[in-house]
Amino acid sequence: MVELISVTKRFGERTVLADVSLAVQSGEVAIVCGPSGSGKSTLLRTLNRLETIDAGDIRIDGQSLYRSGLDLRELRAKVGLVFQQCHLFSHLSALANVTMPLVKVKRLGRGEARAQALALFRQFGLERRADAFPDELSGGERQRVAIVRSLALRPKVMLLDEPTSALDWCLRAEVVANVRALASRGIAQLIVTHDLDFACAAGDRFFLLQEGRLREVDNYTLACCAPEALRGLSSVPRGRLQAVAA
Amino acid sequence: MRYEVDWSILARPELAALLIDGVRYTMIVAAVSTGVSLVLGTALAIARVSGSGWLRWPAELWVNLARHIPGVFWVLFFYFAFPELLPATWGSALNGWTSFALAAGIVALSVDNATYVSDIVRTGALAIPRGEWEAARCCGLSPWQQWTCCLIPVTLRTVTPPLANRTIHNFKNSSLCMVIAVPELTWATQQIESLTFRGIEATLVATLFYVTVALALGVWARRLERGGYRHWRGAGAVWRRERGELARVDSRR
Amino acid sequence: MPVRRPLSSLFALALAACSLPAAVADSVLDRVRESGVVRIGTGNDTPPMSYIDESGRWVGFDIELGNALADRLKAKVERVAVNNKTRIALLANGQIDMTVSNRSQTRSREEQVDYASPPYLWTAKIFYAKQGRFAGIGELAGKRIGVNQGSNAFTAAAQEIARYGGEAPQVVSFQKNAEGMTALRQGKIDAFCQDSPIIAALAGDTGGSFAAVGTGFSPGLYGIGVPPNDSKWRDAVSFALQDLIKDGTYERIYLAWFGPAGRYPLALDARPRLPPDAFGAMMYVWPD
Repeated sequence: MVELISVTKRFGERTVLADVSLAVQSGEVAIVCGPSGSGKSTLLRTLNRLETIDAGDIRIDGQSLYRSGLDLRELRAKVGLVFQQCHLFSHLSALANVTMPLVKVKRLGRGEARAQALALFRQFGLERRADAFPDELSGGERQRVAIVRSLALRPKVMLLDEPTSALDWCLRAEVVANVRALASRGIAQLIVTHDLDFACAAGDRFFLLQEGRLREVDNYTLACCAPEALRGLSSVPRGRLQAVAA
Repeated sequence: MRYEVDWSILARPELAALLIDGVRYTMIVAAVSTGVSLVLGTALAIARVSGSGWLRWPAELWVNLARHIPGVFWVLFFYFAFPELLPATWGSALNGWTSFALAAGIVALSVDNATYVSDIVRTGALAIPRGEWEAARCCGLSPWQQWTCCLIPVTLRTVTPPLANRTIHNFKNSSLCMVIAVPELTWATQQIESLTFRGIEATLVATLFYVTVALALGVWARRLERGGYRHWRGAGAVWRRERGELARVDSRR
Repeated sequence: MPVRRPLSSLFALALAACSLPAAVADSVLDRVRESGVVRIGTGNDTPPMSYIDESGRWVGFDIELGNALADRLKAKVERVAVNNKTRIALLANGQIDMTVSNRSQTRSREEQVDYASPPYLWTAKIFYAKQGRFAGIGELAGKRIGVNQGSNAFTAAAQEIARYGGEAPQVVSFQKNAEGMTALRQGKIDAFCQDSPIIAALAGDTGGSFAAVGTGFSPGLYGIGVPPNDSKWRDAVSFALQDLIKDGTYERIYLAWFGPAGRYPLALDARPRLPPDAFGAMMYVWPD
């Protein structure tokens, strides 16, 4: 389980996250929507300490990310982050992208790492692409490899940054299926997206992030109100939000 | 009067032996110093882009100082001055060592070349997209593993052409070792000139050798660059070339 | 001279760039007379023969002798710095008119250039090492012997040591005498081998902790080099040198450098002289 407790993050003068609180249970999929530059990606990056926070606390399974003696490497294996551009290691084959961290971080033998990776490749329909290099994979394949790379490390939490932005619309269903598959493994997921159709199809709970403030909405509200917010035309007027909610 | 070329002097066994020995020493000096400077230069580059000021500042200071020092200075320094800076017993042990000139030359060229290698590798490392650095961190790799498993292999691929140039340069710089009496190829041509008063023949042959090796290095680097070593797996640095892979890359262009 | 050989076109091209269009139809003498300038090649790092002192002036035995010769030839000196390796080639190519640069006459050099007569200084090769370390030349077998690249000590030292049997020495050639001496002082080589007058100057710096090993060997005579096949010029230089010997100029320069009260006194008289019992130790010059 992931908890953010009154998290505040500033970049210089600008407050990117203001008093943000959020809890995601195991197996739950939380979707965060918001206009560009609203701090969505920063929110994800605080969860594996690629960014540090200025106030508040973050806990995973009840343990603070800021406790002394925290093993950052262990944390990052426990919190998988799939980037928008995937960022596979370009010098390694698809399979080696997955086995290398297993060997180096989880200290598995090469054979064992390979067996585990291939099992995951099979589940995600990648077994035929195991020896391909990142620049030979399609966008969807690349993303699946990135998911498998994180998944192989047996994370408790998965963070997905704009998982559908690089894909054409027909691959969206595939991503939804992947997200639900992760959820069924009991992994807590936090997904940042612009894509409302995808959000409604994949998510369990929905949040809007505007000007650093996070608020939970239902999927209906999200579908009705968020488009304006996402276009960045205006922030959603409080009155209207309440009206819709009522 | 004109210089009349007499190639037969190169067939004299004692002179041919000088040239052959010269080639041997040139290859040893060039190969070892290039290898050492690649490691040293990469380490310096890592220190320079690392987040720790304790690593970064000394490395920056060193590189910016060493960059402006001529190679021949290092050669003379390590041969003549360095043993004097050590405790007397170590100094005289070094001076008494028969291969000290060779070792001093190799160390000097390694130090000289490492500076430039570090500049090249640093530029390449900074050219890696930020995302790839973060991906390495997000997988839970330690800083050392991030470098050895991801950043160095990716960097070395992008900087192969300038590194190859630098290697050719270092290969030619091996001739600086003649000033400390390492009998490398240029020294050998000078020796032949001083024994026979005929320098042009041996110098031409030596030049031909330098050009040939430099060209071969250039061709090899181009092949690497064209995708021959995309299969560099992990820190083991295993280069595997597959004909099919190469053919595919070639057919794309 | 070696036989001209057919060359591949590549090398012919390369050599066309290297070789000089000398084609001196006239004697060097005519050119020196006409221009009033004589180009003398000397070293610049070999005390006491020719070097540049602290105040930046060219000094040394060879410098003074060269100046006196130019005076005799009624020409101004244009000094060209040469080293042990370039001095023959520059002379053979006609880029300089003579060398006065501590050069022993050898057969292999005589094949390339000519010498004025008579030779002007006796020398011997000497092994120079830490005082008391070696009792004789035989003990240098298998040791590291430093020489100056371009000096015929490279060949002579190994030959001399071979006469005593034992392992061949490792001969290490430096670019300058000073570097060789530094290497000797630091223990990078076991002995340094050079001509006796040069060793005399080098010994001056070491304050007595170094000494010659055994006696001198491979005796030689320094001679003034001139371009080959130009007897008119060679005679002019020979006559000028003999005039200097006759009028006492040579004697004055010699005493100033190597005499008992000179800067670098030599234990053995280095003036090439006729046998004293027959001719009263005079130097030989051509009769009129």
